Amino acid sequence: MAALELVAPAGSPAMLRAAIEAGADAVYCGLRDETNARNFPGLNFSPPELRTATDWAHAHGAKVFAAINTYAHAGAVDAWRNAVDCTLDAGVDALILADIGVLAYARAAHPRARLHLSVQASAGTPEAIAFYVAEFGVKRVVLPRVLTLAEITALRAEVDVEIEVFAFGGMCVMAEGRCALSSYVTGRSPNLCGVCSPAEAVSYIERDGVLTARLGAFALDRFAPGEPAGYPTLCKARLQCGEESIHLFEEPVSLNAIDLLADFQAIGVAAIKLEGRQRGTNYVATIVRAFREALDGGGPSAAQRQALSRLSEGGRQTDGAYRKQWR
Amino acid sequence: MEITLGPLLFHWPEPVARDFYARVADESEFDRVYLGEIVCSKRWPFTDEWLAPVAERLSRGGKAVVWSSPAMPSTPRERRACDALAARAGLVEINDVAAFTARAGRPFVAGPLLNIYNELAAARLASRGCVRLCANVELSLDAVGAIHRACPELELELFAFGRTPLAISARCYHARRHGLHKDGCKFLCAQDPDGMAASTFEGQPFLAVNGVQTLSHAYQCLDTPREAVAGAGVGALRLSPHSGDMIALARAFRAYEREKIGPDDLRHAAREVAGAASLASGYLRGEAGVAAAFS
Amino acid sequence: MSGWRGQRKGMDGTARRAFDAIVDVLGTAPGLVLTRALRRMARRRPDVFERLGRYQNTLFALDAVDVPLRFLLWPRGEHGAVRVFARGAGGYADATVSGRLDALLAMALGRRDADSEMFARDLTISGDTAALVALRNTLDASDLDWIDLLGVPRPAIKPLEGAVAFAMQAARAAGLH
Repeated sequence: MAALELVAPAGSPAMLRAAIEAGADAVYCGLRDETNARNFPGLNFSPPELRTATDWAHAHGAKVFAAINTYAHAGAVDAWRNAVDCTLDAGVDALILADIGVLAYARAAHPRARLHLSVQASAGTPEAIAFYVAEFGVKRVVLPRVLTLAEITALRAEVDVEIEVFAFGGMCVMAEGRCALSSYVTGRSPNLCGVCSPAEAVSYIERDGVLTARLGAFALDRFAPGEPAGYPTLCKARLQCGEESIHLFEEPVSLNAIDLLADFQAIGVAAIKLEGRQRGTNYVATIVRAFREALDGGGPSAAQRQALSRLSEGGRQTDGAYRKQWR
Repeated sequence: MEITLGPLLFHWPEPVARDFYARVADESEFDRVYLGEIVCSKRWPFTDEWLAPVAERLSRGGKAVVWSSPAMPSTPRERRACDALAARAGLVEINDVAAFTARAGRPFVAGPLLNIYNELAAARLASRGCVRLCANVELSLDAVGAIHRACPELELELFAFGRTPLAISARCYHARRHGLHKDGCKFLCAQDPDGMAASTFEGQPFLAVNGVQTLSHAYQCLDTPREAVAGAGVGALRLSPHSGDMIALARAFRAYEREKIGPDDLRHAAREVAGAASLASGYLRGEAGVAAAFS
Repeated sequence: MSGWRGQRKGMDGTARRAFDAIVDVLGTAPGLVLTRALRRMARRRPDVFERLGRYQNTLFALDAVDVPLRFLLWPRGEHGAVRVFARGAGGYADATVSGRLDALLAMALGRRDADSEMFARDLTISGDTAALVALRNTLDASDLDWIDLLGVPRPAIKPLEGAVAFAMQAARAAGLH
């Protein structure tokens, strides 16, 4: 049984080095523009940085995947075509794509390039995945986190493709790549612009110790004096339906599937993916070390668990849908 | 331009649905009607009772009927239903990539819930049988125009009225609101024929919940001159069914596309259906979706 | 750049004591000293400012709520500037982080995880959130902290912590805590 490939986030060259030094087998990263789904200010790689970082990664025995996983803009598709060309030119080992048009371009222009299907393509059924495999020859698919272990096993039997699953980090509660909540409020969404609840639309107003977090015209959450504050991500908003004010869509909670590694391995998953390109170097070093030790040493230790739990959103964790249906 | 009726997104009781579609068949301006329970398969036992007779009635009334596929099939039953629909003769609307393989190159409409945002993707689908694209709500009129210029043969349909679908999830939020799971949901979504209003904690209307689907609270309404819309290559205007007077609304849109009234005159019929909710058209202008219409 | 003497005159007792403590560490014209250090760093590390991009033009403020001091940072690389003011002086800033002086220092020294700054409520942010995100991401990518952009040399950090502790004590005594 092949070992699980540990795929870590790299929001910058420094983070890439930290991830690989901590034991990642591969990292994924993006360019400094809308072509990737973590298009945050101050984050990501310039083309020269990507080339240098990829050389460094290869010299250290690790792979680099380039995320070009947003949807190209009508009338302005060149940015995505250029992203495909220049990341392959920088020597990356695979592209992580979502847009049918970008997949078509990549396949036609670079017949030998390795293509992975991003979770942003929202392909969660054997039929959907089979379409991308047949049409574009994708070699690996990153699954939406809502599938159970049983469903992943069934999928494995039906489609001949490598499977990558998320094992840690913040997860979307809506189908990835198909959520327009952010563009409804701010004009920018993860699908087209690579941002969700973008910072330029965020404001914090403190009055009498109560902090209100707003996104655009909408107040999304409020924090009592001393209460830990959070970022006004749309699906984590405090909403009112009738009488009560609740976190209708999701409580702030992180995915942590460190106890499921043996299960993933048993059902033939190829790789586990850690989320968090925007979380910084200390974060990636910590989580990669924990997962590396878990993968090599046969099980997570108490210290590793604690380290991971400290990095979970709101301090709370779940193993998501993997064990039971998340409905 | 065609006036089309989008698939009914909400869970209406059978008598209400039948009456609605009877009026659509007998007295409406709709040229084409999309049919199918695309949001939640738990509703299928109910909708199965009336969808076929309604399709019959609509065809007799001279309306073109296009079956619409599930938005996010996931269970084996849903996937089989999706395949079955994709295998149908006649035109179908596809709302999830899962149906492409089964459709195998036969003609189809790419629904607004698909991620087709540019001419590269549109062209690829066109080469695989797509004859019409109903633009994703996030596409501005300019973006639609860019797709049109690159794919002039592809018919283009625009989401011209209704609460805009914004997200879909595996989790049912109607159930969650009442502390339940999707499995034991008690079909609470039937209580909200236009979606359950969700405001911010400050009381500002924000979203509308429809089971696993989240929509805008504001009703999108086209407020652009017909010339600009036609110029972008749009050949059909889709009105999403709500509980207000859709017949009068369709009449207004017909008058608009025949240039008997200007965009501003759509406001009255739109207000009738939207009720207290606001009208928005930001997406069409490339702005935040919530930005007000007719301003 | 000039005017700090006039500023100091305009400060009340606590602010002046705090200012003096910091001046002891950083030198008699702290803004001048820090600015020079920032610009020297910019010449060594142009990558930092390239990554900041258009956010180089942001005027950042660190506003202490207890000790009445304010630090302004304009990270324009070799044209950048740092200023030290009494609270309420120095004018408008595009993006502000405010909190107790020791919390600000901990943030500036990178002792707190980037996300926990906000969560803990010891610090409040206001103004251009995107600029603060850009700065946070840039510092992480560059293996630097705020303290480096503020031009404080590493050997001065320990004495600075001492000065801050003293200043906070003075503030407490003056009932400003």
